[in-house]
Amino acid sequence: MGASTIDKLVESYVTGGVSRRDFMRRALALGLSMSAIGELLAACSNQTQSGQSTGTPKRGGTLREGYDLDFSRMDPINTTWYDPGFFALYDALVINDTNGAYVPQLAEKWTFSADGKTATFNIRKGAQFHSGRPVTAGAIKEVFDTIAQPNSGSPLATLWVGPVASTEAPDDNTLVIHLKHPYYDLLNVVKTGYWRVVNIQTRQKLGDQYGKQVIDGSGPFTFVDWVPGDHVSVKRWENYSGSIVPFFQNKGKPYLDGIKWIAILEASQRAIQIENGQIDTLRGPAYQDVPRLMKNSNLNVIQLKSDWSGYVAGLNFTRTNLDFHDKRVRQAVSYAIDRTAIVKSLFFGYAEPMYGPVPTADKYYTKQVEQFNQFNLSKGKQLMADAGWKPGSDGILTKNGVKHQFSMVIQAESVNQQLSSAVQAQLKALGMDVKIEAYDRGTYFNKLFSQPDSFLFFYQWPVPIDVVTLFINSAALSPNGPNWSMANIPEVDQAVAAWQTASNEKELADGAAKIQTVVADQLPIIPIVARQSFWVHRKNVHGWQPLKWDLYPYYNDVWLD
Amino acid sequence: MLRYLGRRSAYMALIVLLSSVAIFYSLRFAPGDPTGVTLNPLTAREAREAYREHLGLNRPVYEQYLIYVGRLVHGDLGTSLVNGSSNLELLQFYGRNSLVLGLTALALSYLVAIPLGILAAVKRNKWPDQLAMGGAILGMGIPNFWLALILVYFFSLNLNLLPAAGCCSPNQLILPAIVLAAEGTAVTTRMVRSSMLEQLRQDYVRTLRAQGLPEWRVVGRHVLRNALIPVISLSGLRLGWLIGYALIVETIFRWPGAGFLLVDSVIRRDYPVAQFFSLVLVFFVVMANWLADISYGLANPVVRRA
Repeated sequence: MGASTIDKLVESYVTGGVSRRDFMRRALALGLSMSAIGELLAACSNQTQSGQSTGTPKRGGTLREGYDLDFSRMDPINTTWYDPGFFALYDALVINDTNGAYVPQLAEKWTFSADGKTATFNIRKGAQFHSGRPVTAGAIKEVFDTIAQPNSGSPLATLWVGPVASTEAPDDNTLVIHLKHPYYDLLNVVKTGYWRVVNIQTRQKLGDQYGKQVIDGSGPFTFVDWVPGDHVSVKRWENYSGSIVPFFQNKGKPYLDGIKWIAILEASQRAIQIENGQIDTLRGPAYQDVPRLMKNSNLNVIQLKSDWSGYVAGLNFTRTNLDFHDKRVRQAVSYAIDRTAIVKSLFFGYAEPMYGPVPTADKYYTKQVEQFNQFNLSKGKQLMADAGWKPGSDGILTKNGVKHQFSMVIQAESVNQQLSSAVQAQLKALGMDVKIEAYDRGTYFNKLFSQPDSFLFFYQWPVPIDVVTLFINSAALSPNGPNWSMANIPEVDQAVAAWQTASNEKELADGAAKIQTVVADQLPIIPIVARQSFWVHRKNVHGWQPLKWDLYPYYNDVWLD
Repeated sequence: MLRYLGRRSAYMALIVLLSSVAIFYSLRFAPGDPTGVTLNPLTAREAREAYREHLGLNRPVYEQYLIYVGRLVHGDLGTSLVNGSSNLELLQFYGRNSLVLGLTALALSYLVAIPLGILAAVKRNKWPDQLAMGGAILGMGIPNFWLALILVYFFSLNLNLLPAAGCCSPNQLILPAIVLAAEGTAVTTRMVRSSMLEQLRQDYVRTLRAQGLPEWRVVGRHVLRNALIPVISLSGLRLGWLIGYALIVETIFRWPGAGFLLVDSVIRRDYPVAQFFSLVLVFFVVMANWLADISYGLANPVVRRA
């Protein structure tokens, strides 16, 4: 019996994947004593959610949800970021259930051909867009074909354009995707917010105004308003035809009258607002407030091991004067970063060190990465010496008269600033002089594409490997893609290709493991830490269930007491 | 008088025009552009370029400015790049919220400051005076963002009496209005006190007292009326203050007013909104000054001839 097995069971219980009865049954099967199970349940009591809601659901009320980001345009194809509203307004072909298995949403079932080059989706009958147009295979084909257009603006279109040859809708209920090569990752792509199904006819009619004042999806709620910087609100769609998602208990219209997501950008305000009842649910309280919230008897705090995200740094390979193209120098930088100390001091322990590019909670995570990048300053110094860098009188490393000084571009946000300062101090000990350049969001992303010396980046993606491939693949070199390190490493490209051409789950997992170990070794990006994810709800909220496998909860089952 | 009016109006129009150029150019020359905020960082280069072209950002800045002015002249106030609302719609929503907050703060400021200033003057050098003046010094000295945090800590977190942020119920208005009013209240209290003291030393006050008028009537009816003249004449300038502080207070309390929107639109590089609301705020400040100039001119012929 491994500790990780118990960890997984506890996590499944906390995230609602298993009921209390199942938890006890499985824990007994694992050989735990009743007293140990009792202690575990007690420890989980403040972390469990009301996914397994008690009592009879009541109709009515508006859920007020605090959100730690500002809102983006609600057009899945062209948006900065997909926000929780996407999960209320739109449907996807398939989604993950609480255990990570793929389950139907618009597609009743799906099959891959024997050669892995054709995926066929059977589209459910009866679904329609808010405007009344039926959601047919043809309507979904229009979405996917729009994403494939070069100017679509779809952020991860390369994940689609590369492997997909064409789409076909032979009838209203059959969607066929023809692939250039086996691409088992397809389901991981189409489940995300950027592939949610929008009525392309409405979108074309409104042009770039779509997603701002009008939204035409097929989700259980319809759009009401969006006040930038303040809130987005939706109301129950009275013509909703119902859901076929197996893990939704409520297959009909939602119980809630509406939902209002409130942007609370000031971290310390989030906890205060849920404590004094201004909001009912919350994503992302400040870490220092978590212990206080856990003690509050009116609240349930849900702690997920990670939120599919990571803080990574990049060193620009084209800065040959600083030897960033030399693996030894990149490794020296990585060895100089004390990730454990950062987790303790900056994240109050609510994070984990990253030795590879994805967090440990990811289903494709491999422990092999842990043999790399453990803090070892003297080893880092030795590697720099091997690369020809010697400390000068001021302690800064020097080679051929060049001092090891460079800038690091970061987004001006408190965690980024604290983290970059910590990295700056730790690299100082190595003998590197790092100058932090903090920019607001609008400038930061433009700076990333202007080939900075180095950068700090926070990614968040429900299938982390997918987004990581874009940061490290030589086919995505900046400014054409987000490989801002300008990394061009054949081994990395081969690993990415293996992942992208996987024809089954095992090949996909093998490809993911290969990518992680190659990245941990070659360091086209330098992993630093992955933060934990916290969700809070007041106890009068039932059926609200943050998902381990995607960014936000669904709202079909939510009701207010 | 008409010549004076025309001269002041032309001067104010010139300020608005120059401000529009300065606002436009400073936004364009600030690093970054709307693609960094309205598009995902992973969006392909072609799409980013196409969007820049669509917005006309590849044209020379003077050309972009002329197009902008041309649209303004034709009544096109612009549309948000972020949520597609017209600036007029945004002005109605955010402007109304700002007006509510600003007027509440202004009213609060005068309702507290005038009685306090009178009390301090009448009880000069006694404990009410010392208390009022101590409070006024604190009001002027405490930064409003810090005051906001203190009030949130006590009234929201500890006492759970008032919401920490948000809009637009009366109880959500209380904390931002107090913070916005704090410095103005302090300054006005001191001004009322000194103005009252000056009036209380005048001969007419002695005469009124000699006539046997009760003290409350001397102070409340005669002295106060004269003492408030400088306070009222400076209230126009308070508008500029309020607008400046509102940017901070609305942002702290997430009160969706014009200041909040302006800060948000600058961060998001929502050029049409940032330009429009900057200009609206400039216009209000200029108008307040214009009204003050005109009223001085009306009151004093020497100013008209200057």
